[in-house]
Amino acid sequence: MTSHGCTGEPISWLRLERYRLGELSAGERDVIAAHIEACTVCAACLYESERSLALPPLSLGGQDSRLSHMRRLLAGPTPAGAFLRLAFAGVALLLLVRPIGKPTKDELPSHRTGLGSKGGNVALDLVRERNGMVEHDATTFAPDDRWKVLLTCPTERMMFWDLVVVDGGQASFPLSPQAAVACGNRVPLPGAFRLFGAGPVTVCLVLASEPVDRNGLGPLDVTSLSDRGACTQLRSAEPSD
Amino acid sequence: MENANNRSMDDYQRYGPALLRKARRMLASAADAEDVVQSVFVELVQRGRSGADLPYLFRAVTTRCLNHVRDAGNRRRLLERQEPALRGPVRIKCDDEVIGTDLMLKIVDRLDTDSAEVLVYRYFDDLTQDEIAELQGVSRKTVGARLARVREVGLVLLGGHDERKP
Repeated sequence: MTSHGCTGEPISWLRLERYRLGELSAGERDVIAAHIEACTVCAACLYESERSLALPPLSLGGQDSRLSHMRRLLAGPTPAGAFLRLAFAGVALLLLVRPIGKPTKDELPSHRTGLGSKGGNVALDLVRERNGMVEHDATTFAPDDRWKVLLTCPTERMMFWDLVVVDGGQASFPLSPQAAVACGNRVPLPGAFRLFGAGPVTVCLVLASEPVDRNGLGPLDVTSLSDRGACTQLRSAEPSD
Repeated sequence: MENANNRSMDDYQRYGPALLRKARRMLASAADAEDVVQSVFVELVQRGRSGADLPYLFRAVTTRCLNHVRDAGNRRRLLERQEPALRGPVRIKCDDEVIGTDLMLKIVDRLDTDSAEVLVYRYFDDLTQDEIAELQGVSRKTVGARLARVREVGLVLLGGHDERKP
């Protein structure tokens, strides 16, 4: 067995969670703090554990029959089960993903995948939550939609990142990167964002080995930004969408 | 009873996110992870137990997840709808192979309950052998033996060899 990307023995998730909760002794905390200081991989895991996570309400009243009923619905192929699964996913506000390479038929021309400047494959997946429904590879946006970003990049790398939204030649930065991210398959980036405007927008994820300089992005076109990460395009939703 | 429920609610608020993350790493399903964590707390309330610490709950969720994946219907659904992003960064690999949901299910089929727990603790939760020993209440040597068995089965599955044949 091997550990990857860590400077030594990784700090287990259990210890990271207890560290976050303040349940460890001062000595243990010092050891972990020193490790985190030197190990970007474990630092990324700690960061992951510190992200807020929507917790569904705990059903204690009549819990047995209610839970069993829910579990049956969740396990079965019924419409109610499907609705419940979607509702759960919506409450969690997180990260249902679809396999890369299965575009919807009405997908706009896009550059979802690009070749990073470091030569590895980079892919950007946007996940939209609209009225409690989670959708992958949505092509339209509305003001009330909430968006999450999933990043796929070569494993065993730590990458700094920033999300750039280009609308009419103007760039905006809806997320606030605090740290580098450990690459992997569809890694959720911290934070969520909304999109506004009437025209199409280009959403680009820029990756770099150093913190991204927002003033030094260069040309704000899809080709240039795709060279530094990956981009996709979205259009404003029509009333019928 | 009301006080016990309130304490359980407090426990749930305090430890629920950590346990959800843990169940998601293993099951790669947000919905199934919520179901498992809820069922653990519901059972605690039914038993009148509150004030459990995180290691105890961590083990309870592990056991519940293993029971969950042994059900054929759950297993089929997990494989069809797995959400790899929920796994998060993988720091411990088995001979350079990531043990994902599919491989984990196959390995679990060939392991006893205690060794299956060790598989989860080591490759999904990144626990050290000392931490696993403390959690399972056994010696480090026992954990080492269980881990060797996990690795042996994993290598057989990865290499396509049957360990029962010479």
